[in-house]
This record gives sequence, structure tokens and C-alpha cells, in this order.
Amino acid sequence: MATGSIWSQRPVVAGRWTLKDVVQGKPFGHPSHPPFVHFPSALLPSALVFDVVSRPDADLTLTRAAFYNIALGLGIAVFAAITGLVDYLPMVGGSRKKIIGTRHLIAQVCGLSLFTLSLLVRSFDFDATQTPLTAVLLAAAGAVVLSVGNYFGGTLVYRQGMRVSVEL
Amino acid sequence: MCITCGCDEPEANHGNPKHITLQQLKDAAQAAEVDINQLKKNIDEGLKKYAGAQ
Repeated sequence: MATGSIWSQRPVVAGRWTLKDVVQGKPFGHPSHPPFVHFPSALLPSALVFDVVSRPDADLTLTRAAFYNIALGLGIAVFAAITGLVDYLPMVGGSRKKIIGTRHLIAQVCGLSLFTLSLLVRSFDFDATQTPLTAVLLAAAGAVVLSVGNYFGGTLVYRQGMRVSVEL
Repeated sequence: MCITCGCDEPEANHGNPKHITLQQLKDAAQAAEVDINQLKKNIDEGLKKYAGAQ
């Protein structure tokens, strides 16, 4: 893929990759942030689906599935956050990319915090066959905020071309 | 950084040839037979003179 070839030609400090380069995925010829973001983006809203279904159709399998979806989603989000921050922090202040990146960052932090609170609430009654309403509402709010954050992330890539480079 | 958009990716063109990469500036410096410092100074002067940059 052309993206990889250009990345592999990128200047390196003292003839070798820096830790920042490695975390950004440059030695592998591919940005490291995208492979991680899909998991929380899919797992966390899926938990909300299980939550909603568990309300009329009480079933321990559903509430457990939602719990583990959130736990796994938040766990992988840590890697998404690290790789995202390494991309975000060196951006030049005041640039359009940094402004959109800041919006993306704030929304993701808020969304993940809401899901963390939701996980906390449901952990008090781990054997519940219906997800507590508070936990459902927190997850719903988290899903909405995450979607907004994902929109800004998508704007960075698809409109601004962040981490996109091709042979022209 | 495209050396122009603030992305901290000097060789990324973002899929658009209008973005200026570090390699293009190096090539321009070579074509003009100036070093990168002189190139920076020339661009700076040009932008001040013709584009109203401060």
C-alpha cells in the first residue's frame, strides 16, 4: 500500500525509530490508532443494545454480555487513547487539525467516562437479570457522546486526511 | 507536514497534492541551490512581500 511506503521513508532521529514513532505505528507502515478504535466503537454501543433488550426480557446472559462488552471496550480504549494522544500532542497549536482533535479528545473522554460510570453502577448488582435503569441511561448518553467524538475523529481522517498519505 | 497544516507529519500529503511536504521543500531548495535555512528565509520574505504575512 502506498501509505506504508511513504511512511517507511519518513525521517527518523539518529537513524532509528523513536518511541513516539513506534507507538504511532511507523515502523509497521500503518497508523496504530485505527486498529484499536473499532473495538470500543463497536463493543460499547453493543452493550447498550443488550441493556435495552434486558429490560423487557430479563436474562442474566444479556446483562453479563453488556457488562463484559463495556469492560472489554474500556480496556481496549486505553490503547486507543495512548495511540491517539501520541498523534494529537505534537500537532501545531491553533491548526485546524488540532482544533478538531481537541473536540474528538473531549468527546471521547466524556463518552468513556459515562460508560465507566455505567459499568460501576451495574457492578453493584452483578447478578441482576435486568440492567439497572441508571446504568442504561448512562450507557445511552455515553453512546451518543462517543458517536459525536467518532464524528470528529472521522472528520480528521476523511476530511483533513490525518495520517493519510498516498503517491500522487 | 505536509509542512503546512500542523499535523506533525512532514511527509504526509493527506491525499491532496495541494499540501506541501518536507520533501518538496527540500527538492525546491536543491533546485534553487540554497540550503534549507535560506529557503525558509526566502519563503518568509516572499510571504511578507506578496501575501501580507506578518
